[in-house]
Amino acid sequence: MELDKKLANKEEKKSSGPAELTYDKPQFIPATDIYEKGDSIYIVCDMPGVDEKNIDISLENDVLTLTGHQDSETHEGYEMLHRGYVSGIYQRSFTVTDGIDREKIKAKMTNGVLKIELPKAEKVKPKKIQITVEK
Amino acid sequence: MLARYALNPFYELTRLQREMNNLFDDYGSESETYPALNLWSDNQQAIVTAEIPGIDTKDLNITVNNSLLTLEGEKKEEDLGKDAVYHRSERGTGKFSRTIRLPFEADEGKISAAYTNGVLKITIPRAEASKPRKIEITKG
Repeated sequence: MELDKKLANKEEKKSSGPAELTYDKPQFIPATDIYEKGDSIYIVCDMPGVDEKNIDISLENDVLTLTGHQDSETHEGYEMLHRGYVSGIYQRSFTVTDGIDREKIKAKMTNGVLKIELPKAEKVKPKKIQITVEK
Repeated sequence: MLARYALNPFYELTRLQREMNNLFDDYGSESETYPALNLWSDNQQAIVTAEIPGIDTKDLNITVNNSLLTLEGEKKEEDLGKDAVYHRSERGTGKFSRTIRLPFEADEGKISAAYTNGVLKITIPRAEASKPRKIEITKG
């Protein structure tokens, strides 16, 4: 497994497709890792500046949508001297197949990183078939 | 990307230049634009915020020399074990280092930093010696 991705700041989404967000805020595509391990698939999204309570996860018609609202940074009485990033909304959607046990999807937010565990449904777990040799 | 290309005829050139520069950098070298920083200030102190999701604070190093603030760190790759298979990998790892000039000399002993929800906030009080002084004019 080759992991030499360079560090990058968040990427702003320019065209939002047929449906736009109703919020008039910049929208970002969170950098995401997806991996499979054991009996689960994990989705890991970078969403710095998003508090756990401002995360919204929805699953509708096979589409898992992750939304995170950043708290805007304001410092009363201070003058802004340099702006390297703006606050806005992270959003990204993924197609979830039937192979996922929807009832058991779990999410955790740690240090601005959202981690979602999608456990595979019983029926798609590979089953080892024992072969007995008859003598 | 396309729009940027259309607007700036030198885009391709600058991109090439950047690529050439990258060639001479060490492989997997430090990024100079990471992390993104915001800087605020008033007469008394400065506030620097940086978006660095998922870092262990012990891998972060903040140093101040007069009015230069340096933020260094390393985002380490998570060890998932041998049986993990990546479908997609976009989150970067590696070392970074950024230095910015503060609007005044810092009181190095009183700098504080907090890491919340993947955002680092550094509060830098202004050095007493560099604070503006009002000069009283005495009537002759």
